[in-house]
Amino acid sequence: MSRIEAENLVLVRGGQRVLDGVSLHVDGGELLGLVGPNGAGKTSLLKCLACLLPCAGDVRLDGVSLAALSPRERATRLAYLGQDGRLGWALTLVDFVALGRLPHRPRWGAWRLCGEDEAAIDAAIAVMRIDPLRFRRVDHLSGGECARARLARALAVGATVLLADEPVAALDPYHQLNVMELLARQCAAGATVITALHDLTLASRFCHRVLLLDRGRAVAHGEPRHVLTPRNLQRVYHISAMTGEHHNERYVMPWRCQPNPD
Amino acid sequence: MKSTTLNAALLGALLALAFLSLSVGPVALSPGEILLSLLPPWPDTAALLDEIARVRVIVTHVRLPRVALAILVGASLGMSGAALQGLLRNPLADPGILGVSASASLGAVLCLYFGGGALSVWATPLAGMACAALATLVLWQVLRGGASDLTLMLAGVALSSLAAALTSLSLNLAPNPSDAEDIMLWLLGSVSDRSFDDLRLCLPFVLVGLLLLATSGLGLEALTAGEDEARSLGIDLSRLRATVIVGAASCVGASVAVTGAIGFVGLVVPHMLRRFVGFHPARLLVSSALGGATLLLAADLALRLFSGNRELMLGVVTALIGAPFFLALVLREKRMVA
Repeated sequence: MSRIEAENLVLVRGGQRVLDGVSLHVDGGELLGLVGPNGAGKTSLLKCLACLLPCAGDVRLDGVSLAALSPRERATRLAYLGQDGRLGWALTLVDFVALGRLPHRPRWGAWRLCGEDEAAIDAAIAVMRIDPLRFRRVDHLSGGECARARLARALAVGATVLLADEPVAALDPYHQLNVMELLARQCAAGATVITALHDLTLASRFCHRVLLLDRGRAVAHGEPRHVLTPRNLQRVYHISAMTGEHHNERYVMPWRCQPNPD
Repeated sequence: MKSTTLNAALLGALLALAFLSLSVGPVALSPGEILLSLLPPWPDTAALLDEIARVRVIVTHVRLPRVALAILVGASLGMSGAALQGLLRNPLADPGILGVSASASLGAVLCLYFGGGALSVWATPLAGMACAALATLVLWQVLRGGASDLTLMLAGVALSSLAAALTSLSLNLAPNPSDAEDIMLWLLGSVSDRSFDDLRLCLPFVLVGLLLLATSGLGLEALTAGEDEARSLGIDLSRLRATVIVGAASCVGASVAVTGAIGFVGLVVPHMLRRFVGFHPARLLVSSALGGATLLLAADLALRLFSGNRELMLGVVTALIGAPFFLALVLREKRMVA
């Protein structure tokens, strides 16, 4: 189990504060959802947490600053799934998922996968239920299949922390639920997951806590029912939302645009 | 097909072509004569020694440098093309896209324009390499600023356009028709009439370049998942870019400086072989080097066999073989996708 903490993250781009003093902490077994309108800083925050963007502030993994770890060590402990779904070359799905094992391979060694690598790849493919597509070229996959292959690649890393940027963006409702259930299962198994989401109902149902961002600032942080309130949604998204409960689980349905004061 | 099988097949074809290339010419040589001329002198009768010496001159002074240069330049272009396509994740990338080939050509052309070719046989290739180094330096400065692949490509296109414009200007202002013809011949690319001196000049740069490119496999493989993902997998992208750019510039700059511009090899060879290595950018590197050397040697052999009184230029032949083949591949791929 890993605990990730970020303290006072500040990112300035083009003279604008993309992140303005954001702090958070997530323990092992916890699923944190990052929500907020477009341009709120969700992707930037995830990239800063993965050390993909240089920012002021400190990110610590189990008490050790991420900056102090070598890129290779960082890569084995923290998996990142980006928003960009474009894949470079037409590898077979199994070869694509195997890319997740790159940080574990010897730098100058042979390209052959060891037993541990193959077990991690098989497990990731099985968990994502894409075994029948194992030998299909990734450029022949549908959008949903491709999204699941990318998530399998991230899972194959075998890291204790998973940072996923809108992992359900390209998926139909069935696969959206499927991926969120999978992330929840990963957390139940001890993983630390931080994911950016646009679907407020999914965030409300599956995340243990959510961090509501607006213009680079953390507006609210806590349990979904305390953060995704009609008042907060109106303030940040400029929408009125319908909220309710179904089978003791809360849903949040955006209903109508409100006039934007800006 | 396994990549080791492919590489073995390419190596076999390369050796066969090299042997054929050594034996074909105005004086046809048997395999035995070629082997004898490559071995140390054999103590025998004076008449036999004379015959061996005659064959040895043809093989070692005329045909061997040509074959070796074709292999070296083909390997450079092939591996550089594969590495650049992997780095930019673009199957249309080739060594020409960075502007290094055009800059090396410009250096050689300027040398010919100012009559440097008459001063020393090394003047033209050295000028070519100096200009290639200058272009690499510009690209390095762009990279140091943390440029994206798109910025790098745009910088390459700008460099390439500038070098092409200055080359055209040199042709336009050439003091006499024979200078203009020299320049034109250089621009068409050739490995004929080259000596071991040319080979010695470009060999260290080509070897260093090939070595650098060969180390980029892991990073290129990771880039398949995307730039951010590759970095999250522990790849230092700035270092990877620098390795590929310096490696490609070193081999291609040195090759073009010695042989003139030879197009299409860097573009078409990785494209032809990619399917056979399961689309793995890392496995494509060595295969493309072998494939590039084989293609260039085959093209050189073809022009020697089928040229009439006036020998065709190698750059023209590679484009004549490569372009229709490339078009057929693209059309086939389009049909398969449809």
